Amino acid sequence: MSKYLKFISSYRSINTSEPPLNTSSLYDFINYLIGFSLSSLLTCAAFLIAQSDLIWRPGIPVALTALAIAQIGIQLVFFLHLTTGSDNINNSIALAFGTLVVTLVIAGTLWIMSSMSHHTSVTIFRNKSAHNHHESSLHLEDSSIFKIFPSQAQVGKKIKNVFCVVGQHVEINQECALIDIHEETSRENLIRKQKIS
Amino acid sequence: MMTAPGIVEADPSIKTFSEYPDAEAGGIAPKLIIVGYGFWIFLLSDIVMFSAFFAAHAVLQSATDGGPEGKELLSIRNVAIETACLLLSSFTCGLIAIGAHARRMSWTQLALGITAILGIAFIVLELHEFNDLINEGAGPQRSAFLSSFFALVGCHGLHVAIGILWLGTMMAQLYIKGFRADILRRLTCFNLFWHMLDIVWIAIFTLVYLVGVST
Repeated sequence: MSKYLKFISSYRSINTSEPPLNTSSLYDFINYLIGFSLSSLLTCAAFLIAQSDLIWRPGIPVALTALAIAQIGIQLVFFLHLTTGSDNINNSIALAFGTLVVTLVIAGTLWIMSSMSHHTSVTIFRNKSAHNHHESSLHLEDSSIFKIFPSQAQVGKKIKNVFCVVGQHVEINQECALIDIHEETSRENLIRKQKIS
Repeated sequence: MMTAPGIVEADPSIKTFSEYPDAEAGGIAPKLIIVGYGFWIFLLSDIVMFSAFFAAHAVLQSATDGGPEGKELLSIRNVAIETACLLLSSFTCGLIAIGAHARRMSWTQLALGITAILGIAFIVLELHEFNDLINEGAGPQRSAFLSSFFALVGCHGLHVAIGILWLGTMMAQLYIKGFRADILRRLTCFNLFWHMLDIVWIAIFTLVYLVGVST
């Protein structure tokens, strides 16, 4: 301890009338040094894990996230001096609220967007033949093109059911969606009736 | 002796508010703590803004529009040097606080100077990286993935650049005005700001670079 103190005190200053660094400065210095060492260690570990096969590959993002959270915690304690002391309790409560909002924003976005892309992924298809007037099943007619290129289509009628998902390989004549053409026909009938009358 | 009902005699063991000098009992906190708290709330709202950019990047990570993916574009060596610069500058930023606490002008100015140099090195490396990406045809217009990448990393870079400007003015203010109470409060706020930038960078180098390259 006293060795470090000597080292810091021997630091030459331009203005020699400046007060010497005292024990409290030494304590702060060691505090920052511990924070810096631990942060460096965790950073090195993160870069090592990402570039090597030390960890099962699908587990790497989880491991990296854990290391990042640990390092953020260390910096909050050693650099930002966030404690639960009486002077600091408000800061900790504000941080807790901030963490809640960040979690809601990120987790909520990921949840909503993944759920939305799951429900709106109607890729495909051309109408081959109408089996009856109320329902028409859609197939891939010519798979030679669609096998190579991902296909996509817009449907102007009401989709009753979807059987395929994005990225799925589809076979010739595989049904991917069920479309209700009843609405359309009934409207056409309505228009015709109006014209007649 | 009888006392009238409803009148309670004063208990000598109960002290009045002014007899508690320590902060533990409540009362008005020192201005430094109030200013620090206000600035901390600003920083947290800044982090909430960053979280929206992070969420956008996570959602758009695979939206490459047939263009280059993160795996092909990002250089781990470059980001390792950037991380080292910022982490080291976070440490030297702590030395600013030590110097200011001990009222040592030369120590404080030296620590401020080193922090500024490391911050500038970080910005130069990042601009160099952005320039390379744009020259390779992987600018922010190329795909939604790259838009979100430039928005997130660029927003952090902008914060660092503003931090360096602030740092420069702090060096000048400290030199001219000395260790006045208001200057010390500003230094404390700058400390919080700079450490917060390093915390955001931890999330960026982990989620954008390391996870982006290894998956």
